[in-house]
Amino acid sequence: LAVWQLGDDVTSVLVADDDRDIRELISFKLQAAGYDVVTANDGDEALAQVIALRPDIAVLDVMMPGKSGTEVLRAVREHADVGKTCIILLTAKAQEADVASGFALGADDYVVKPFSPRELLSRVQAVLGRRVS
Amino acid sequence: VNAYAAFLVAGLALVALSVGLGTAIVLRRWRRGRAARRDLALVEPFRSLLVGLVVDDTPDQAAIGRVLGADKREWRALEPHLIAMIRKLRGDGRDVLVGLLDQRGTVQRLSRRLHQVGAVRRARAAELLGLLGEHAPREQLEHLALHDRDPEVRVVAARALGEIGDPRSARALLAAAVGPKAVPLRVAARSLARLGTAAAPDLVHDLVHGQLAARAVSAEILGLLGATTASAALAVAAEQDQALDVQIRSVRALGRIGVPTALPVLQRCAAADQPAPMRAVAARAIGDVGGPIAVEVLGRLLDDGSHRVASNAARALGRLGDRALPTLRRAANGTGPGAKYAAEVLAELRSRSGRDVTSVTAGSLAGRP
Repeated sequence: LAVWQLGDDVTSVLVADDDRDIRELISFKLQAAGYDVVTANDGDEALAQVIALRPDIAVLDVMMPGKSGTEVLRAVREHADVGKTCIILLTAKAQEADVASGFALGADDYVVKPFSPRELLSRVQAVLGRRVS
Repeated sequence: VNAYAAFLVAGLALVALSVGLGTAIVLRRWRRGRAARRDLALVEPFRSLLVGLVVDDTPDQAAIGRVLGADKREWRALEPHLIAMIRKLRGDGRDVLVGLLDQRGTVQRLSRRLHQVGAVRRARAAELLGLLGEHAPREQLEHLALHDRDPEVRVVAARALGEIGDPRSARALLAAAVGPKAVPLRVAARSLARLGTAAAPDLVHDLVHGQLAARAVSAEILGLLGATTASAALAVAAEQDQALDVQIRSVRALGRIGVPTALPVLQRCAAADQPAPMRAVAARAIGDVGGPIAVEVLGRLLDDGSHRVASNAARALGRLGDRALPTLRRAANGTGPGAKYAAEVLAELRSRSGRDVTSVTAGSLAGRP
């Protein structure tokens, strides 16, 4: 687990995906937009990061080694301290059936792969905007 | 003794062969691993440049120059990495990477491979070109989908045309679905469905003037596309095409499109003098279009002599919500042929919603919760 502290005054984002390219693309885009970003390579690491760092929002790949994105989502929603972290699921086209169960578990939005980094940034901003309002 | 010696020699030869094969496999794996590590090391300095190019709103020209200036060894490692990234992306960033491949000559190289002797190479090239969208040689891929001697290559080329999504490929895909070297219908249909409604004029042309299979596929795809502009042509085909298959597919398409003006045509297609298979599809289509008239028409079809028509009418009513419940309830309590189908649908609705839908309140009739 990375020893890393998210800043208090900057919106913090956790990006969890086992694909390095996708992690880097999302991190770079969100950092360029002024967010503090931390990454995780698998579901177990993602859950540990959410509990330890309490990011404002987490972008979780549905299909990850260890815990899946939806399992992390369920665990986060059951955890009283970090239950308010917004969550966006990243899902492959073939896994769109998982989206319905994701929403039922409390996901705030989802993005389908192949994805557009610009669209993902807009979704992150929209989800955070809804939370503030 | 001779037999023993021969047995020994054969055994030793077998052992030597096994050791040789094992060594060759290990060596091959080691060399592949070394090549993969070398490629990774070559790509590493370019990774942040590529990520920047994908996510920046205005791509950095210096970074583009650096990537395009990669030497032969670097590019050999970079090219598969770029293709892998393209598979993961949509939007402007993807276009930037495709542009890099085009400028560096990958498109031309893959286009040349479309003419190579090996079918695997042709198929691989067609698949990769499908990823490159408007940069790909559309006409060459269309030719491949229609005329390649290998059926697998034709299938891959047809899929690639769907991936590219250029509506101008509609005619070629239709021809590929019905020609002497036809690709499976589902492959052509899936690719056609990806072309979007801009392909509708070509599909309508084939619906009106094409051969039997082309008319049938056109009708089906127009429905899948939800091409409202094709409603009139589909209505004519539903009533007047000489082939029942085309008529049935046109009826189904009208239901999928869901334009209310199609209801009179669908009613006529569901009339008693029409063939039962068409009336059954028409019953379903009427439900798909919906509206107050649909409930009335489907209510009559519940008592149709054909069990397929009555069953489809009951299921269509079930999809129309609360306003269809009185009709279903009346039919279920009656003695007509549709009674059992109406009862089945009511039972299904009851188990799905967890409420007793056999008793309908005034509130639910008005569409209120």
